[in-house]
Amino acid sequence: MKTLQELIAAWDAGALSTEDAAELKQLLAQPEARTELVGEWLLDEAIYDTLRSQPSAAPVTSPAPALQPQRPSVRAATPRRHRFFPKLVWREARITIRWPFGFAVAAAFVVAGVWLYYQAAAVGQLQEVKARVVVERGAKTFAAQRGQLLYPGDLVKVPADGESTVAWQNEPTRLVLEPGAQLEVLSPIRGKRLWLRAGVLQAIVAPQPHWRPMSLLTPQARATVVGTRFILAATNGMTRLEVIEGAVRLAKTHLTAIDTLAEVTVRAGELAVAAPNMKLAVNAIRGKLTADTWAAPPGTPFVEATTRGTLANGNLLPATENRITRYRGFFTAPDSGEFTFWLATPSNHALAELHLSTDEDPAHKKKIADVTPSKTKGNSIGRQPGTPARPLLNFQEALNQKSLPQKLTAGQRYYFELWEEGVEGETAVVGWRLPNQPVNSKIVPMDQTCLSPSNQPAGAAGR
Amino acid sequence: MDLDRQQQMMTEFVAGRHSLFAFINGCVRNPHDSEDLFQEVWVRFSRALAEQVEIQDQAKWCRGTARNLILHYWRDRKSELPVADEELMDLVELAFTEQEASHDFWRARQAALSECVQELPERSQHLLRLKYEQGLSADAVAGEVRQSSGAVLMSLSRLRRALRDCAERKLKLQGLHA
Repeated sequence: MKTLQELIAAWDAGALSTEDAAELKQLLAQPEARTELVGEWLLDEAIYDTLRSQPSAAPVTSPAPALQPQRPSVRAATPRRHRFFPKLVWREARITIRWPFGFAVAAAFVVAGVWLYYQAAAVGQLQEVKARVVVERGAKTFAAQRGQLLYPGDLVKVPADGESTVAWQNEPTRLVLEPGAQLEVLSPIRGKRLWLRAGVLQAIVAPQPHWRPMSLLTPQARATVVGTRFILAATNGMTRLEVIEGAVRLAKTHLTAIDTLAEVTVRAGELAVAAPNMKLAVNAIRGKLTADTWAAPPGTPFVEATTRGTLANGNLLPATENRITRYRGFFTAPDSGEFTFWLATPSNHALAELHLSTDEDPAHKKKIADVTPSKTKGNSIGRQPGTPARPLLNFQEALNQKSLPQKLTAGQRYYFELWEEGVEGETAVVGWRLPNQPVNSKIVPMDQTCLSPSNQPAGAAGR
Repeated sequence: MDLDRQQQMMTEFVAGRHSLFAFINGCVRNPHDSEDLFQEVWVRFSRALAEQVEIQDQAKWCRGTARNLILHYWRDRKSELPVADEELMDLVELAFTEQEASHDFWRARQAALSECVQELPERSQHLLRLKYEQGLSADAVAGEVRQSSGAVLMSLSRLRRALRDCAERKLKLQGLHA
């Protein structure tokens, strides 16, 4: 049987066999052996600790090294470690300095890369160009052409007789710049950002990522858009926003003492005005209806326009294209009683229909009047473009132009829908007779301030 | 745990570091790996203090942590250490726990041994450095000092005995006995 010293030496040399281990356990069952083991190991520790705390002297070599072959050192490459609790320090340093520093450098590279990408990439392009629209890029000014790519910093100027459309690839977002508009393209790094310096634009904005919404700046306000249709006008000292579909956040950039809100959310059928002398507030749009236009083959019944036609909202249709337009919204009765409505188109050449619901629900609507041109008088369908429309309105040419008396309640909103077919320029007119007016009183065009647009998208109000 | 208590426990850790390192180094038999494991115990102990972990017996807690780390170390090197098992570990841990009562004696012995090592001739100290500080095997030390392995083992054995005797002499002078 081996002694404890021999077993420890075997362990030290890595030569402890299974039998040796069993013997060692047997020995260590004795308290004396355990004390001896601790003594031996503490001796090792004392030697190690003393040597480590002393400066290393020059290595002692054998007297005749030149005569002996050099043997490679087994642990020559092993660095000597002199440390007392440095691992904690090193670990803390790694966490507090190296990692954040590495992340900061990596983040800086990513940000710089993204910034460079957005600076160099085209932001959008001019899809439609009428008259001499110019683009100012730095010190250069040149005439814009259809398909002109726009880069951050470009300023698009539309002349008084011109029009242009800014479009983006892979999405149906369109900005129609009306005559006199000036639009500067800003860096899109935080989403599409444009500065309407002056003029009016109509916008159809496809859904944008919530974290990168589209922003339209004016001298007085900033409109943040997630996806909608709206009209933004920047005129002298005032910005007016009308929302047709969706919602837009409008923030006033220069607040005055009268303001109680810095930002408002303008929803469909609402408008807001940002001006120095006006309190920022949201109001309902009056006198307007929401319009949906379909390009459809001539003779398409209104009921089939939504399925056979192509919804052309926001896109410019060729003048020769036959179109069906639906105006929809709400009629707010100004009085209680029986209302009578009449419908007419110029010379009653074009088809038109008037629908009214018993409440706000489009599902309860019913046709109350229509205009059906007779064959003898001809139909506006197929009329050559450029032919002047005869602005003759006759509300009593046919019986079906007049509605039955509609019993309505004052202040109540009723879903209201007007369909018409024809080329650009045709507009149906609605006349009315208020309750308690004589039967033989004159038919007058209805007060458009009783109308307000629908806040539903085009598909939601289908027939 | 208040700051005074934390400070006290840290002081105790520093005071008991020789015993803890001896425990780790005795099991691992490699000063560099032992340093790493020892530092890991210190890191865990510091973290436990920072996280307000209730530690009743600092020495036992640290030894228990070291024990687990050593077992992991052994498992990772199973091919190199075929005898690694928990039963042996338990006995070794018991041995160190039993010596806790003689803490003052071992501390005095450590101090005496340190003096003895410093009194050794430079050549002997170099031999000890190769073995204990650099952790070289007997064969590697033999290569360094250009002697046979047997001669190296013999020299190391004599040095250890001389150091032990030296320490005992010094302790006797101080009136201390194991």
